[in-house]
Amino acid sequence: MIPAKRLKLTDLRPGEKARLVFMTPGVELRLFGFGLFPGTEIQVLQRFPSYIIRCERTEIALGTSVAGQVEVEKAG
Amino acid sequence: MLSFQISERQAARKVILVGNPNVGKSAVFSRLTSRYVTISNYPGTTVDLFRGRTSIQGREYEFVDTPGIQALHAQSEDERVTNDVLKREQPDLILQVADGKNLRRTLLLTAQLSKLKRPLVLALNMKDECDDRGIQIDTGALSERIGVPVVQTTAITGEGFEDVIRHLDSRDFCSLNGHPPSEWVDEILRSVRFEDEEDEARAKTKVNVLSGAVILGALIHLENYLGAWLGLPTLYSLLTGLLPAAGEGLAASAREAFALVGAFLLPVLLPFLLALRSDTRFNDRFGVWSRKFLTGIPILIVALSVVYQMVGNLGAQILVDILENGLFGGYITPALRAVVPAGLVSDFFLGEYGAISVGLTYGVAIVLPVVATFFVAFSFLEDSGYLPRLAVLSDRLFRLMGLNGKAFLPMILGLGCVTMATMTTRILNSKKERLIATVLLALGVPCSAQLGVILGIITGISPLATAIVFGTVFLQLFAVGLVFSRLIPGKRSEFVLEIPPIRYPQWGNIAKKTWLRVKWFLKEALPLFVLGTVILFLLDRLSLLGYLIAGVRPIVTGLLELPSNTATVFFLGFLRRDYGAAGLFDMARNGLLTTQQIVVSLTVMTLFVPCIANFFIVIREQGLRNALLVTAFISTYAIAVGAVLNLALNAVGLAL
Repeated sequence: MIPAKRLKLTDLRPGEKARLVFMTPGVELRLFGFGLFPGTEIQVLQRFPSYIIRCERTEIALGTSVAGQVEVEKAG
Repeated sequence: MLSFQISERQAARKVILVGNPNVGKSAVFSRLTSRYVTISNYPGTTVDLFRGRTSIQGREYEFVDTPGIQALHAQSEDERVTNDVLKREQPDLILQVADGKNLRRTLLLTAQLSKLKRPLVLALNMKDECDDRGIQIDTGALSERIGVPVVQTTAITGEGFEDVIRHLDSRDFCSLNGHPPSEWVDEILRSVRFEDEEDEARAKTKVNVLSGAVILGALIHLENYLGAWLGLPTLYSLLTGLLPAAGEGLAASAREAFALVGAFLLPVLLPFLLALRSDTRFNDRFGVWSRKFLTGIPILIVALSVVYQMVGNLGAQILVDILENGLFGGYITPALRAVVPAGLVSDFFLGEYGAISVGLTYGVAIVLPVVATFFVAFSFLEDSGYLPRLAVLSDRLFRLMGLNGKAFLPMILGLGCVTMATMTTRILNSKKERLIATVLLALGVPCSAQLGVILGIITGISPLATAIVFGTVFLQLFAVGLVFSRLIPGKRSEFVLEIPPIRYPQWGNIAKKTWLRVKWFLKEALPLFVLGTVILFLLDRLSLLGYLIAGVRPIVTGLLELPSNTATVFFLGFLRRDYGAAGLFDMARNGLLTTQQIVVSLTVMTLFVPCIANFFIVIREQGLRNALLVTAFISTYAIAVGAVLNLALNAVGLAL
């Protein structure tokens, strides 16, 4: 099996699913509150004008600078 | 022993409602206490604590509604309120209200709450939406797993509340430990939640037909402007032609209202409401359209235009006409004139600065219809879930001003009432952001009443004049935000915001909210209107008004080149900005102002100092020093901008 690729959230296209791997300490606490932890599966819904990701049935908007501080692993 | 029992019987059991933002805590609270607190469909509606005592089946309870929190470590001022009350008040029960659609986040908060070592009950709210989306939760299994009662509720219908009440005396502690690794959450979720994947194709045609109707309606709405501009026939001109040309007065107003509602409002609103009501798939799809840039901007334009037609035309033109010329001008004032003999008493009530002829008339006949129509439109936007999507669209713009998209909420609330909105700045995460938002609100965000009156004045003039006024104000907001974001120390916080689903609003809730706000207006604003008029009357009688006006003449007539009695209007503007605007409305209608003077005075009035009520709120939220600094800055700045604008208009010599 090919090891999963580690990317920035900003590298994902709309519709792509991924698993959160790491977020910088600056945004970590904010994201934890929304249920976004390393290991959580998310889907990117939109990139402009703000990032929108979906986690379970909830849509969460992220500013571009937040999205740039999140690393993900593409599923599969 | 005996005394212990008595004291326990007398003390109300304290239940604190806690939960993530926008899960329906206030709706649950209202249902349990029969006390209404404002409910909306955006996170951060509740920024303060609400308490309600009630007796259920012979037992006394005290319920506390709290602002939504993401976690037990506070990020913003409103979250801090909740954290403090939880730690300070040692509740007998924590009632965690949660969105059943998002169990993961719910359980993470439950795990944190369990650290407080208080009995806990978990209410999974919005069962209706779970059912709609095919989400089933095994509450029994979940309850067993976490060790506390779990119930499913729908706060707006009351479903499941007998279960909540049954567990209000629960003494069970949650067995989750405080650490939130995502493994145990995943494990629990797998065993208690079942979901049927949506069948996308199902009912797709129905959605398409309805979506088509909504788009068509929006196009008809826009064609009314475009057609009029290009000289093509429009639905509006067609409808106006249908009714016999009535002369002046009420018949003309009725005709205008008919054409307005038929051409501008019904074509968009009717299919839109039908679609929202009949199919959650349309709601979800509309939710996506309205947060994407390419579709979101056209939707925003249509939405703004519908609100403008409702408030600026239906409210500020037609209803004002009916009330002012029909009711007050036609009946009340003449009837009173006939009864009250001429003299001091008559002057006091009915004269140039009469408490009734000016104070009450401005308040009830000019401002009330405007605020009432605005409150209806605004409550609708709030409850539909549209507003957070505008935060998504505007985040990049706000970033330039040292804020983030979250600041959109207080800003647009400011269009309802700047004073209320200033309190809402608590949802912002940093001190710096709160100060900038407060300044911008006080500087250039006109409240609904003022906005409506401004629209009322300006609809009568040219589109160019409208563009200049709003363009100048917007530019100033932007410029001041830009400069302040660099001057004020501190950091802009990151933009993270939950986007709630689009919902068909509850009309009962809209009616309640509108009524509460109208009542608030009547109670808070109307006395100030009358008081302001009485002060003016006294100043006039004591011949002090002349001195006052002479005192500010260099500024008003010299710098701004406005008629000298505009000074009185600005004075009224400090009591209530809408009152001042109503004064301008009156002057403009009587032909006392040239178009350029209207543009300059409206701009200055919009930017001018906040009203007294707002000034006090700014003191409360920011401290006296900041409040004085803000006010001093704004007054100087408003006059400077007005003077520059006037010079510029003089220099260009534009035909407005």
